[in-house]
Amino acid sequence: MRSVRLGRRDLLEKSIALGVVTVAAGLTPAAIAAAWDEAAPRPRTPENALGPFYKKHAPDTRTMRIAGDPGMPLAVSGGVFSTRGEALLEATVEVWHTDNRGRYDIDGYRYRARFKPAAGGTYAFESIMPGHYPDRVCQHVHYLVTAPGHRPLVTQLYFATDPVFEGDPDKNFGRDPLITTRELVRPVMLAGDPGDVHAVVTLDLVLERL
Amino acid sequence: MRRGLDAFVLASVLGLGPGFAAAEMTEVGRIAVPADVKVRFLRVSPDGRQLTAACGDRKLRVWSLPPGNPSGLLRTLELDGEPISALAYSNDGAWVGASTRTGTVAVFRARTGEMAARFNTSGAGRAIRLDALAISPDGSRVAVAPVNAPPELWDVASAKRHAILATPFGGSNALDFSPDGTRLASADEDTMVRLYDAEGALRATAEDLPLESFALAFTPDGKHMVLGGADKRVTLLDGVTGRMVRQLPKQPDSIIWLAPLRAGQTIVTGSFKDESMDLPGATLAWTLDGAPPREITTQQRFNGGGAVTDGRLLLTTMAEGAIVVWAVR
Repeated sequence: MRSVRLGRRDLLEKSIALGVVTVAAGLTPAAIAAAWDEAAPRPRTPENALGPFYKKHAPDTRTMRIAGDPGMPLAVSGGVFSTRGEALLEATVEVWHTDNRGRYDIDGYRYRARFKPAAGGTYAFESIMPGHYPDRVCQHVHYLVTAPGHRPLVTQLYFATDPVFEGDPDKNFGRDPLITTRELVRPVMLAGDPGDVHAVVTLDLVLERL
Repeated sequence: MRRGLDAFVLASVLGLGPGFAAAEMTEVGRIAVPADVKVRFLRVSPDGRQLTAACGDRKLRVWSLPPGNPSGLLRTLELDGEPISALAYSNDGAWVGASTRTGTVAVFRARTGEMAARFNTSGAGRAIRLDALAISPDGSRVAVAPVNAPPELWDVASAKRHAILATPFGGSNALDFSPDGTRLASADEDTMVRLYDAEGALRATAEDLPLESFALAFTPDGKHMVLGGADKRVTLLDGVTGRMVRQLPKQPDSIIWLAPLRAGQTIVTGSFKDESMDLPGATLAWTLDGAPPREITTQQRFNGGGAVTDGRLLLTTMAEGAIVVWAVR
């Protein structure tokens, strides 16, 4: 007999439907499912190299893009969680990347930011799609995430649309020797109006307890 | 006029354009390298009597200095056929160590080539590339910098890890023992410089550096540590407290290597352009009196060298079938 393994959310929805779980008035099944998901254990986000141009004391901002900056506007969002699924509201997220020509701002703080997660552990920032730094194969955004009681997370975000992958990141993600897992190569959704297209990407940041 | 012409000729020899000042660099000689041997990088011993080269065939070759002896190859050393990732002499030149991209460390007596120890630092079945290493003056301890992980202190005689040093994230770019062997300094990727005692206990930190230091060395008297890195400055720290003593004027390029010279108060630095770490910038000589640095050469791709006890800095480049040895006065 073929067995079907249900996901956590499927199981919850089925339990509600069968009456095994009852839902208090005013709570929709979708809201319950979302809360259920948030509390679920999560795998740790894979580590990736820190790189040579980390700079301390980045400005507290979620907006790195200035009107008129060359490069496609980029919106990145996600959640900051522990591996137990708890939102890490005390975390600090630091991000940095090159300009659209592939150059890091070493003298100043362009395309460098630090911020705290919002309620529910969500984060979001606006920037531009980074260029290709000549010493690296792929476009990338660096992350350093720290939270009390948790092991710091150093990782990088890559883009499935990177020309290096030739449209097939599953097959070609290893073309950048620093990309050790497909998981960090994220899908890119193009959004906005014809005159104002921007790239939308998500990456959850999951930290391990010390 | 004549002086300018000399500079132009030397610039042409170096494959550079006209208009740069290279009068402080003189060719000492050339070491013939067999056609099938590719030299990747090398280190010159502090006594200036030999150099050890990491070669493309995954072997170490040791040549005698000064160049000129046609049979100057002293010995060839192997490390299990693994690619070599870093080389270092101890400050007194008695020991030379090599690390590999798969976590192996070997320590040799520099005079004889006898292997004193070989061990692998990787753990849990995972080979870890070592990006830097340093050997204590008595050859008893080796500090290594695994990629993306805290540096470690190893005991040579027992081949056991003595301590994992303290970094919250990232790895270490450079390590150096003080000349008396009582202190170990690390320039870490989290931008901090940490100072440990010989047992690996943290004694001091320098926290006010916003960017990473790529190069670090104790001065020959051990009183100071000299740093250079992405901030394009030479920074002098107290060698015991880690307190910042002085920063020299900012330059256009990030510093990738440095060498405090044995005599006087001179530090020579190599750099790379913002566009790429593969694009060499100016090689500069700094004095600690705050004067602007002297340019030794620009855009020259050195593949190794070392400060020598007689006060010179020897640097090397590659030419057709030869290692070219240059002396910086």
